[in-house]
Amino acid sequence: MGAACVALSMAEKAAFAQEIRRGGTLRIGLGSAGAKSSLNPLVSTGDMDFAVSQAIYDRLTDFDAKGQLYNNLAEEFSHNHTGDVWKIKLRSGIVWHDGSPFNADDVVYTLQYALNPDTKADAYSSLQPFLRADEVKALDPTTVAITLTRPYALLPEILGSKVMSIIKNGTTSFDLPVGTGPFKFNSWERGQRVSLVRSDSFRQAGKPYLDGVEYIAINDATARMNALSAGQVDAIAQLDASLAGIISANPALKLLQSKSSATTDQYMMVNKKPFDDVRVRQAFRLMIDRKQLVGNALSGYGAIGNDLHCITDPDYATSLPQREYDPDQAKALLRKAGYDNELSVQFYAADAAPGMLSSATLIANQAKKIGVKLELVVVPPDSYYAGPNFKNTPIACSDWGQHTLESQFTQGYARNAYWNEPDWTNDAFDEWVSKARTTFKDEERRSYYAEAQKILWNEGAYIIWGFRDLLDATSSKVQGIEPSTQRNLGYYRFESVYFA
Amino acid sequence: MRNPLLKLIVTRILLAIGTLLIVSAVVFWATNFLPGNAARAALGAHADPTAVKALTQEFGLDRPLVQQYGSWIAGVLRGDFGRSIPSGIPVWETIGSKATNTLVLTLAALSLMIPLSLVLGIVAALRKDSFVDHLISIPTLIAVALPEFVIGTILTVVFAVWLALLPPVSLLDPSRPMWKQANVFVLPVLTLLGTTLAQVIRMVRAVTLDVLNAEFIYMVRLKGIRPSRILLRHVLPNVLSPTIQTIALNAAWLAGGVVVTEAVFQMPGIGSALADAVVNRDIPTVLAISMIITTAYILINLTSEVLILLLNPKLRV
Repeated sequence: MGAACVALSMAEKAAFAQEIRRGGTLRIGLGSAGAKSSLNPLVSTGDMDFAVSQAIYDRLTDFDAKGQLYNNLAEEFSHNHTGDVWKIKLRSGIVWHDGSPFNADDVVYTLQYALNPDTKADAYSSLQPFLRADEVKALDPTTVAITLTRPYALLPEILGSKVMSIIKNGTTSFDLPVGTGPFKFNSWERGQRVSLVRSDSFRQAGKPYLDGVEYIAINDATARMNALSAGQVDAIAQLDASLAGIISANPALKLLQSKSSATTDQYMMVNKKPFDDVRVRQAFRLMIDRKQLVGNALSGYGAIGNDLHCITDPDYATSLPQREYDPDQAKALLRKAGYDNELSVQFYAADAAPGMLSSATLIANQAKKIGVKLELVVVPPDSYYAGPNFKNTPIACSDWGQHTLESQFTQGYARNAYWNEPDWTNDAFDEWVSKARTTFKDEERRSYYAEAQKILWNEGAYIIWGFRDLLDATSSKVQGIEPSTQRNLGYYRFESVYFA
Repeated sequence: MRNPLLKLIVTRILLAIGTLLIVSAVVFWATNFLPGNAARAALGAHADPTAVKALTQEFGLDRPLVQQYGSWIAGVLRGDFGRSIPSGIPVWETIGSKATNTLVLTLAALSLMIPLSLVLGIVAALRKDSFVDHLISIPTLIAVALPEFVIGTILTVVFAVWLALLPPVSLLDPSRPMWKQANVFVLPVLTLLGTTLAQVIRMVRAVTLDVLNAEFIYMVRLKGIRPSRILLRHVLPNVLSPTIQTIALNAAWLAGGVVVTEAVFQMPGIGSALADAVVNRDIPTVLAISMIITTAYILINLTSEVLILLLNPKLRV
C-alpha cells in the first residue's frame, strides 16, 4: 500500500513536471509597514518587507517546510572538539544579481554588519553573546573561519534564523538591493508596491518559473480577501481565520493552511501576587478550557498547546502528558495556596495579535467559573508593548512567532532578557539549556531539552493554550506553494511557483 | 462695497494663522502623550530596549518637547516641514502623491455633489409629494441614516461582487497615470456622494419649499414672468445662500471624513496616511497632514462666507 502511494506520487510529479508553464507575474496582496518600509533584510519591519527579502536574498542555512534545518548557501560546517572554532565551507558557482560571484567576503561582511550595534540589525542580540566582529575571517573564497567566545553547538541553527540573510560585501545602501535569490529587484513605491523580476542566474537551473512577482500593500484583512475574489491579486497572505470558510466555499480559490509555532499566549508575573506562588500558576493553567479557546479565538484553525512553546521544533517535549481542563483541581490548588475567597486580578490585553482579545475575554469568563475575577485592562494595539502596564500587570497577553527552542529560550526565558515577560528564572532550567547548546550529540540535546521543558511544564509562568495555523489563500491557478511552518505563503519562497 | 469684503478676508487670514498654530500645538502634544515613540514603532513590538534608546537619541526624540516643537515651527517658517521619521524622506515627498489622490477624490465628489444636489433638491421641491419627490426623498432619507462604511460596503457588494463591474479595492498603481485607472475612483466617489448628497438634497428641498411659498415669488408669478425665469432669477439665488453653508459643512467634513472611505477601499490617501503616521508616531507627518486638513477647513469656510456675502447684497452694507 505504501509503495503504491509512493509510486503514484512520483508519477504525479512526472506529470506535473511536463505541465509546468513558465511565465506570468504573481501578484500578492499583504500587509505593509507603510512609511517605515525598508529593503534592508537585516532589519525586520513588516510582512511585505520580509516577503520581498525572501525572494531577493538567501541565508547560509534555512528551515524547510517541515521545520528541518538544511544547508543553503553553506555547503558544510565543521568545528573543533570543544565547539568554539568553526569553519564554514560555502557553495561555489553562486552569483549575485549584479553578476559578481558570491564568496566568503560577503559572509564576513554580513556578520560584521550584524554585529555592529549602529546598524540596528535584528541579529545583533542573538549573535553578540558569543561572537565578536573581529573573529570572523575569510580564509579563502569558499571558507569562512569563526572563533566564538564560548562553545556553541547551535551555530548553524542561528545562521538560519529569519534575520540572517546574506548581503553583498560593501553594501551600505539598500535602495537597489542585490541578492542571490530567485528574483531580483525591479522597482518599488515605499510602503505600497514592490516589483521583482526573475533572476536568470539563480543557482537552481530552470527556476524560477515566473517572470516576476509583485507585492501590493493591502492592510485590511477583508479588503485582501475582496481583492483576491475579484482577481485583483493572485495570492494573499495572512488570511483571517474567520474568513477561511468563504475561501473554502469558492472553487476558484484555494486555502493554504500549515501548522506553526505562532501562539497568542498569556503570562503570569512571578514577582507579583498571586503568581509568586507556583500553585496559583498551576491552578490558572488548569482552569482554562483549551479546546474552547482554540475553537473560539482561532476559529478552530490551530493546535492545542501544553503550556510549552515551539510545538514545531523537532525537540519539542511530546512525551509530556497533555494538560487537561480541570477546574476542580484548580480550585483545590487555589485553596491550598490560601485563596479561598474570590481572587481578583488585573489582566492586561489588547487587539495586538490574532485571537489575543478574544482569548483574553474567554479566559476571563472561564476564570469566573471557579470564582476568580479577572479585570480586563484593554489598550489600543499600538500602545500595548510600550505602555506602562507592560510587565507591570500581574497577568497579561503576549504573542510569539515561529522560533526554535534555542531562540525562544534565549529571547524569552533567559535571566534578565527583556522579553522574559514573566521575569521567570530557574537555575536548573538554565543548566539544562546551557548543556543543550553545547553538546553536539543530537540525542543528548534532545534529553536536555526534555528536562528543561519538564521544569517549564511544572513551574513555568506561561499559559500556552494553542498554536495558530498559518492561513493564506490563492487563486486555484497558482501552483507550487508548499505550506511551511516557518511563515505564510510557503515561507514566501516562489522559485517553484507557476500558473496552471 | 469692497471694504467689508476685504476686511473679512484679512481678518480671516489672521484668524487662520492663529488656528493653525493652536491646532499644531494641540496635535503635537496629544501625539507625544501616547505611549511609545517613533523609535519603538520603527523597531517593532519585540524590540531590544537598548536599540530603542539609541534610535530615540538618533531621531532627536529625547530633547525637551518645547524644543522639538520650536524647531518644527522654525522649520515651517523656512518652508521645511521636516522629514518622515523612520525613512528620513522629506514629508512633502512621502505624502505628495497621497494628498493628490485624496484631492482628486474629494474634488470629484464635490463637483458631482453640488450640481446634483441642487437639481434633485429643487425638482423634489417643485414636484412636492409626487412620485418623483418620493423617488428622490426616500433613498435620500435612508442614506442620511447610514454610516459611510455601510454605504461603501453596499456599493462594493452590488458593483464589485454581484455585477463585477468595478474593482472592490482601490489598488492605485503609482507607476501608471491616474486617468488610466479612473475606475478605481468610482466606488469611493460614489460612497462619498452617498453620504454628503443626501444631506444637501434635504436642505435644498426644504429651502426651496420655503422660497416658493414666499410672498415675493407670489408677486413675481402674478406679474406673469416665465416659470423658467422665475426659477433662475428669483428662486435659485435665494436657495443658494443658505445652501452654501450646508455645502461648505459637507465639503469641510469631506476633508477629514474621507478617512473611513479610504479605509474601506484601501485607497492610498492622506486619511490612511494620517492613521498610519499616528500608529508610527511619525510626528512630522502627523503635523503636516493635520495642517493640510485644517487649512482645507479654513479655506472652505472662508470661501463659503465670501460667496454668501457676494450673493446677498443686504449683508454687504
